[in-house]
Amino acid sequence: MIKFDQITKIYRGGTVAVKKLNLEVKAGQLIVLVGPSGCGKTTTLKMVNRLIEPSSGNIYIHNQRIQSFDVVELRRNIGYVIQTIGLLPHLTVAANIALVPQLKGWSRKKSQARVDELLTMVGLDPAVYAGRYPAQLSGGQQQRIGVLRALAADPELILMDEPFGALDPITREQLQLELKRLQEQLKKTIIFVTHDMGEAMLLADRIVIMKEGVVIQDATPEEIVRYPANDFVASFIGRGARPQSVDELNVSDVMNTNPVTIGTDRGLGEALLRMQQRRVDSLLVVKEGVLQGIVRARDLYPYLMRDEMISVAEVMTLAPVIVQEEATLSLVAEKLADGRINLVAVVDGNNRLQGVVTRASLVGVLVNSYGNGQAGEKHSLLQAVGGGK
Amino acid sequence: MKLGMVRTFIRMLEYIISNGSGFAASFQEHILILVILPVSWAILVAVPLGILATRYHSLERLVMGVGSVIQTIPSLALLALFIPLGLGIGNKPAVVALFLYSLLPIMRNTYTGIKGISPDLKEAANGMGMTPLQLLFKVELPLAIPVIMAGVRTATVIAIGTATLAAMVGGGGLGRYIVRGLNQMRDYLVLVGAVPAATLALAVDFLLSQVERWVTPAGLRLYNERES
Repeated sequence: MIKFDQITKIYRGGTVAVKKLNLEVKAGQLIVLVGPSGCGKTTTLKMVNRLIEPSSGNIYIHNQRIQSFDVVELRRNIGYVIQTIGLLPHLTVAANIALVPQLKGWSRKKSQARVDELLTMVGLDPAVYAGRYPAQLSGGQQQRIGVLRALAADPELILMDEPFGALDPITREQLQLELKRLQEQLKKTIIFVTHDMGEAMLLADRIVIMKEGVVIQDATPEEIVRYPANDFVASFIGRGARPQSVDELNVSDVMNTNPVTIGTDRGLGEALLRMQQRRVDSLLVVKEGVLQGIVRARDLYPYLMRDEMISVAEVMTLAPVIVQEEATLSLVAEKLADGRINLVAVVDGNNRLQGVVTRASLVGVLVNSYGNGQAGEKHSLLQAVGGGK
Repeated sequence: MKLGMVRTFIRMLEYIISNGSGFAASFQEHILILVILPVSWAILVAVPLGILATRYHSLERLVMGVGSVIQTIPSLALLALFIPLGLGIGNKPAVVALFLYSLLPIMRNTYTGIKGISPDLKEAANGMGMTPLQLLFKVELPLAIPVIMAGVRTATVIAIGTATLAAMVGGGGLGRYIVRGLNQMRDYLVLVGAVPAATLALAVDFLLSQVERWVTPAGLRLYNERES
């Protein structure tokens, strides 16, 4: 539906923002442009609604050059969502949503019906929210309205420029999921810009990774994870840049060096509180850095109702499963393959606690060697993660 | 001493009451001819100039420069300047001078009011397909109107005070009593001009501050409260 043909943008001063970009977006696809800041993704986006004009090359919508359209008409037929939301503060929620329909000359009745329909779609009661002003909404609600405003005149194509970038993580996730749900329902063609790879993975039908004005990889999320085009892509999606063979790794490469511990003389109530705060079900018991034992939530329960002071040392299991730092991964994997064990403590020669390995640590290893033909080597790890033979 | 002040004040009131119609005419002349007339013209000229200045950088430097120069000329000198320049004596040179004086505050506030709007907001409006005129009337002016009104308020209050000088070049208004009082060494007569002029300035300042609030769109008021 939209096609970039040899698009180049050179800013005054000579900065090359986009270099000979070729890209085609099919109708109904959500395509995410992702990359570090300055990679040209926002410039690419803004050339579609002609907020930025390319230095050379052509962009086509339905095989027509966008320069051949009247720029105002073109923009009214493309939804646009920006990071800073950009709701007009002096207009109500309803008037903000109805902005483009109003510019297109819809009747009052028709735009009002559309506003109600859209608000209902994202679970905001029109009776409550239509008359409010942007300043009376939370950031998340404001950006919901920002998205609805882009949808209002029912455009085929929507541009989103880091729309959720300024929101707190919880709200961001809510809006991402909401957008995903809306998209499944509406099947718009969406070009979405972000620097957050997690967001791209969640939303995209196709991801275009850009760096310094050129496309590094253009593929589905699954393909990018399995076959990253190069080290840049690999590191960008959060994998180790150079996937190592599992055999080259030892325990100290994968262990969590910040295990949750407790002193031998501490009380049981404190132990329980610590588990709750750190969201774990067992604590390693140490005395002056030397591993003494392990205490699990289930060890505590029988004692909690008793009205006496009992210390952790009295209830702990004396012999936790331990390995030395230099141990191979397969050794740990073997130990974890026993479903009853959740963690393996890592100690040095003097039995001083160095870290801890859990199943989650092994998943990290698996991800890093995924798609590199190491299935055989991974066998024992997979079994360990599976939690039993 | 205190008693003397009170006596002067009472004599001022007596004068105003016994010369009611003459005083009312001067008061009215002061407001209509020397304040509302020049400030209205200034609004009609300065607001468009301020808007144009936001569009053309060269114009900005020109109009702001000229405005500042006018503002630095002492008011009495500016008034007197128009007599030899062919406007003669009377209200005419005063009205022209007050008009010129009012230009800068209104122009500057129009300019800063519009320039102060977040570029993101304008980009969003542009991106949705507003024409430049729609951008001006639907976004820029509604958001800048409180700042523009503040400029009008400043210009008006300055004009009320400066207008008392009109009498020096043969014009009317409340300044007439001040000039006459000074010539005849009658202190209560000076007050007949000065006290109402000062009271008027304070009252108008308050009134226009209310107007400023009233013309601020409700949503914008909430927005500003939240920002501050």
